[in-house]
Amino acid sequence: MPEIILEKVTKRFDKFVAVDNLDLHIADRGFVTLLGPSGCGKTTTLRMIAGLETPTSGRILIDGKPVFDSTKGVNVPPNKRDIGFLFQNYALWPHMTVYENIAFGLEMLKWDKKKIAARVDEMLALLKIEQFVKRYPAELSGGQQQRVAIARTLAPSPKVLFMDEPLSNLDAKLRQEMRTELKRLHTDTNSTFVYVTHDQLEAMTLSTQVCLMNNGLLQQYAPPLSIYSSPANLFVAEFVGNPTMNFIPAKVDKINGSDVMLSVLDKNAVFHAKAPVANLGAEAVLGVRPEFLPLREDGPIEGRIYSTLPTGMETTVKITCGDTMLTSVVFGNVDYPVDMPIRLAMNSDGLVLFDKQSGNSVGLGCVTV
Amino acid sequence: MKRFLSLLLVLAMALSMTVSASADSVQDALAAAAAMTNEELYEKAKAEMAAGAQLNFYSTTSFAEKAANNFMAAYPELKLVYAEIDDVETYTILTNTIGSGVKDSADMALTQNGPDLKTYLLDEGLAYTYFPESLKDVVEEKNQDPAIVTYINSLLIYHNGNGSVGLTNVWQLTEEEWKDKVFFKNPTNETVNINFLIMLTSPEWNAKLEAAYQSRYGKAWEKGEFETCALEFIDGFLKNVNYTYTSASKMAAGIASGAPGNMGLFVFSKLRKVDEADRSNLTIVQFENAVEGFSGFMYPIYATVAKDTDCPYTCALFINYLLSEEGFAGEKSWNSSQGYYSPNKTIQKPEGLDDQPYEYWTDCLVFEDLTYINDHFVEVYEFIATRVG
Amino acid sequence: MRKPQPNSSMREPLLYRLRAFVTKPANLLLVFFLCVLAVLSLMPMVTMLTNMFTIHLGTEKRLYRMPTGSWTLVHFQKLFEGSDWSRVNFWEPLKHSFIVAFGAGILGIAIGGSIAWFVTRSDLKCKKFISSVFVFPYMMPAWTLALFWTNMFQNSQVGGGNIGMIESIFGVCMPEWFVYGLFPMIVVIGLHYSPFAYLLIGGILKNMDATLEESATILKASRWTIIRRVTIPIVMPAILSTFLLIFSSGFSSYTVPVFLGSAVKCYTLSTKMRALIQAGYQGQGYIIAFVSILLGCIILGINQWFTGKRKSFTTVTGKSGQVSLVKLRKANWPITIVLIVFICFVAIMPLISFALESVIRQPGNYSLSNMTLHFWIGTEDSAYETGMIAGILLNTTMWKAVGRQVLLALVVALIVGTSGMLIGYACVRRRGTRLSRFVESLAFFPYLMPAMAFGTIYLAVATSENFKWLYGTFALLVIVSAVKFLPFASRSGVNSMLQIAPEIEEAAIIFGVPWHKRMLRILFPIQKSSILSGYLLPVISVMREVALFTLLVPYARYMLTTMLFSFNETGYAQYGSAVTLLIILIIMLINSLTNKLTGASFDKGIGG
Repeated sequence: MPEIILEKVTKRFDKFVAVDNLDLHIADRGFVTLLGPSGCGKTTTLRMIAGLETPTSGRILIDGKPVFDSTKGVNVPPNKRDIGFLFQNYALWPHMTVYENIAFGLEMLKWDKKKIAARVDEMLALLKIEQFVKRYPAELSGGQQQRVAIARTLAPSPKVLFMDEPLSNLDAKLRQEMRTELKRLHTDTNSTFVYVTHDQLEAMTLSTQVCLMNNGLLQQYAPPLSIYSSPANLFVAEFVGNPTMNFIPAKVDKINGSDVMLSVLDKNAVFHAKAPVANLGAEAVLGVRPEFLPLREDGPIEGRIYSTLPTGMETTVKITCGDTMLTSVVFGNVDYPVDMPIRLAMNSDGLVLFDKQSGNSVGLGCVTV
Repeated sequence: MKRFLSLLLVLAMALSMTVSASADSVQDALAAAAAMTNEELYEKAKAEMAAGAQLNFYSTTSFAEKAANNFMAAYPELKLVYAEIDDVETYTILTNTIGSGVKDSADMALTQNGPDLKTYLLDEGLAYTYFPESLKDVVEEKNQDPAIVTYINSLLIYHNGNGSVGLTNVWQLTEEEWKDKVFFKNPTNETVNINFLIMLTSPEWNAKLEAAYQSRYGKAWEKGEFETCALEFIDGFLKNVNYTYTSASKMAAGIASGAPGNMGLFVFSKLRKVDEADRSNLTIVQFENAVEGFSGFMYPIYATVAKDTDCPYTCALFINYLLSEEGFAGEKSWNSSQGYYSPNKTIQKPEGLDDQPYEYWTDCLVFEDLTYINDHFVEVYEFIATRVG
Repeated sequence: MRKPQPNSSMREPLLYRLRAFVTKPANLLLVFFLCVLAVLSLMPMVTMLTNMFTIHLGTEKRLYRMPTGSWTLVHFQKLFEGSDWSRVNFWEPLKHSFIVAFGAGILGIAIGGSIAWFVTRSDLKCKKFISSVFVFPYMMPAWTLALFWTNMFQNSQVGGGNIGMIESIFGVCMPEWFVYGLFPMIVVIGLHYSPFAYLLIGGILKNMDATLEESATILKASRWTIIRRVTIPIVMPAILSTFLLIFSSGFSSYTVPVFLGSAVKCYTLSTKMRALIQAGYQGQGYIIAFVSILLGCIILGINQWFTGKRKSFTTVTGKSGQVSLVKLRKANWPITIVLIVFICFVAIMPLISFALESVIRQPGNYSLSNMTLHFWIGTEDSAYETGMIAGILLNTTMWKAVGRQVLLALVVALIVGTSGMLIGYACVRRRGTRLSRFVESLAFFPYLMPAMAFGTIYLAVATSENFKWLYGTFALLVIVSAVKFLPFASRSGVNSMLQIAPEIEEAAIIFGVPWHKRMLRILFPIQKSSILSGYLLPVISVMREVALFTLLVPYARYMLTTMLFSFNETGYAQYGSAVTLLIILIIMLINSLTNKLTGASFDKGIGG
């Protein structure tokens, strides 16, 4: 069954390195998201797996079979890879009706007419677009075009489905709706999904695994929750999570096995890591998710309210603490007056310590002040 | 390898031999043809046609097509194919095609502009001249090599409306009064015109211009800004010239229907293109009074035979025909129009055509001398070109 | 990082890269066209270069006293050394060419661009009429417009003092600068190419998202400010490349300066080039040709620099932009009427004038008694006076020439249109690669070469030992015209392919649609009208080309246009007018037939 393996895949455009030495293992029936800021190489990676782009070097296996191997000169064309591809701009053929758009690929696969008709009907029903069957793409709204594109992609029942930011052209409500549909489709179709997005929320909510990339380099490849809770480096920590993680500069005074003495926010503190700490220089960054910075009267850290941003279900509170701006999240709807003095606790074992120079995470643990 | 090379060498030699052999045979054939009667030539020509030849002849004049049709009527077993080529492109096309072996390249050419004919075709051995023995007595020697099939003249002609008068002395054309009223095709675009201007610098015409100068201004011409009298004339003449018309026919029709008093120096035969209603507006200066200096110029159409023709006898017969009364004065051919003159003195212009025979023009018109032009082309061309642009 | 084995790293990736390279049809196409164009387009250039440094038979041999074929720099010395010769033969004509080309570019864009704006962006009346009639001047050979201009404006005060239509009807005499010289050259060339500007700019305007303008309206920008700050910058790349195309066309235009310039001793580089070559100064003539090409290359460079800096603004993404038309309100009818009058003058009036000129016996006299149809249907005897065998409609030579011209146009269109589309496809797919840039430039290169120099060089090639079978054949004309007219078709191919997002094709690749089916069933149908105009353009170009053919036809009456040119040169004015009219009618017929059959038409947009 389809399992996708990338080994040392590199793609260069002239001198620009789009993807650098990427190793990736996409499990069967996974829903993997390639996440990262624009220009990070995620779309290129997707297109290389699909066979639309030829890597400069490396090896790609789908279902155990090499579809690409630069040393052996293997390069299986896209249509032999048994995949589907959903494009960001849908790429519907403007001169064909909805029916023709969906049927065309099946014709090319030499299905017989009846079977095609049946399959198209099935797809139309699945995506609830039966009434548009005779329309041309230009006569459809964005969401409807999107559904047609999905129907067209799914029609030949590909084993792997690639999606390149398929929801980015839709409005917020429609996007929410389509997310649900996609997740549902993933279970219904029983295939492997590889999904490209720059929207971390989409990645978090949809995928079984997130592959976070930056500047052509793999940053972290893990399930969404572990990406969230134990980011591999500062970039990952900052990219994932909303509101963003607090990054508090700290000075390393002494390392004692898994305990690190720190000066942080003009206080002396100890970081108790879950494992012995290594590769830590003199300067560190303490990463604290906003939910791990509760407002508490007995908290050891003092600050002042800078502003309060209620969203209904929860409230984001911005606090100045000396020169540092901190973010905290409070459940429920609270409003604090500006400049009100306040105290914060730091009471979770989900804090992350980063080496400032390398940016890498060196340990996960809690802090006592 | 060596073997191959030597084989190649032998092949190349054989090839060059066949080429030169055929070249020789064309020249020999033409030499032999010159002494033959037309009946003998016809027999030889028929043999050439039987061997699959046809006579492709290139010409810049449409009358040649008429003559060819008449010829084929007289000699029904011969086939002539006429190709009209633009005067300007003539020698570019001929030098590239003759001897290159391309299909249907010219067997014979009827062309104007003798100096270029000599430089590009005759001196390079691409074409040969031919003249029949039988006509050597009735055609002046200077018109025999290369053979001239017809002369064409350009004359000073003016619009006589509003009591306009012509001229008596060519120097008048250099005077302020004629500014922009003298029409002449741009000599840098029209080879026969540049040849005419170059001929003016020849000792003979320079002397005639000096005499005309003396008569007009009452003093002998003196060297000043200009090296010769002819150059001063050319300078003054070109200053007055108006280049509105790019073709002789348009010039003829344009002057006839244009402003009175305008003067043109253009091809006489083009008067036939002028609508009859306008024709009376035009006066030929020479027919009115003799002009001191010149009243126009005369240029020939030459007949030459390509070096690689496969029908030299047919070419010879056709040239004989063009030089004969039958060919030149046949139905709707050259002689029926004003401005064409056979060098064959036995052929007279028909009555009532308002024209004169060849001899009439020999003194008042400037004739093309291709040796002189070739020797002086560069200096005079550059003198003229800087005055035209 | 582990270093790979030198053995495998050197050999196999290369092999693999080669394999990866050849599996893409775009690459194969590029290589194919690279080879073909290197021969057909670069080779003439090389020939020309050698001509600049060698002594030719005739004048040059006599002047410099060197054997034919010897290498020399004297041509450069002579042409550029500060002297009267240099001024008259190079600098003055250069100045004139530049003024004409620049003026024509500006005028063409001003006229074409503003009509394009009115037709696509405003609620102007009679759009259909305006847009279909306005392209007429582009279909007519440029020099026929020049003839029309003199027929119209010549008067008793200038030139030969012949009375033109304007004087005979209104009694107005235009001054000399208006009738002959740089001004009418600019106007005629500008008018001739303005439909081109109209089509190119109109195409962009039509596809432009109206929200771009609307958003400016919301920001309270005035209508003029919007045009100036939003609309013009967006169409700027199109304006610029149109300007450059008109500029180089104007620069190398030969026939117009001949008809409008020589009367007042006004020469351009192209007329000088011809005169020099004719007088035997081939070396200098070719240097002038080279200068034109060099200038064209600089222009091309500027164009690429610009389009490289700016992104293409108009890619069709599948979303339909809504067009809201600017309301002209009270100005609507006045503007419409002005435009219609203008268009009638430049587009319909010439046709009427040619029709009239072809039936009058005596020029300038338009009375009914002076009219005759014998230039059209006269028999042998009545036509004798004028030297032609018969009226053109009864003349077999004429009909053969018509047949050849149409056949040539169709064959060339087929070759050029297809090549243009394929080059467009390949270049766009491999955009950014050196190969793609190179092929695109090579395909555009023949455009820069003056048609006359092109013809001269091909004559030399076709009469050389290896190619002599080509001379005088129809195939030669096909090859030469195909190369010469490829530039526009490949441009239009590139433009139309640029408008198709690559995903449209990739979506089909995923389904395993083979390349030829992707072309035939996806790409071609989507850009049908634009691609068909790529086919139509060469038809029109061939139908009205002269300079390219004059040296390559076996005889002057072989092609319709060379026949026409010789009519005009030799003064068969009525036959000339009749043939001109016939050519224009044939072009229109082909255009409307294509329109009826396929829905595409010339005026539906080059790259639009």
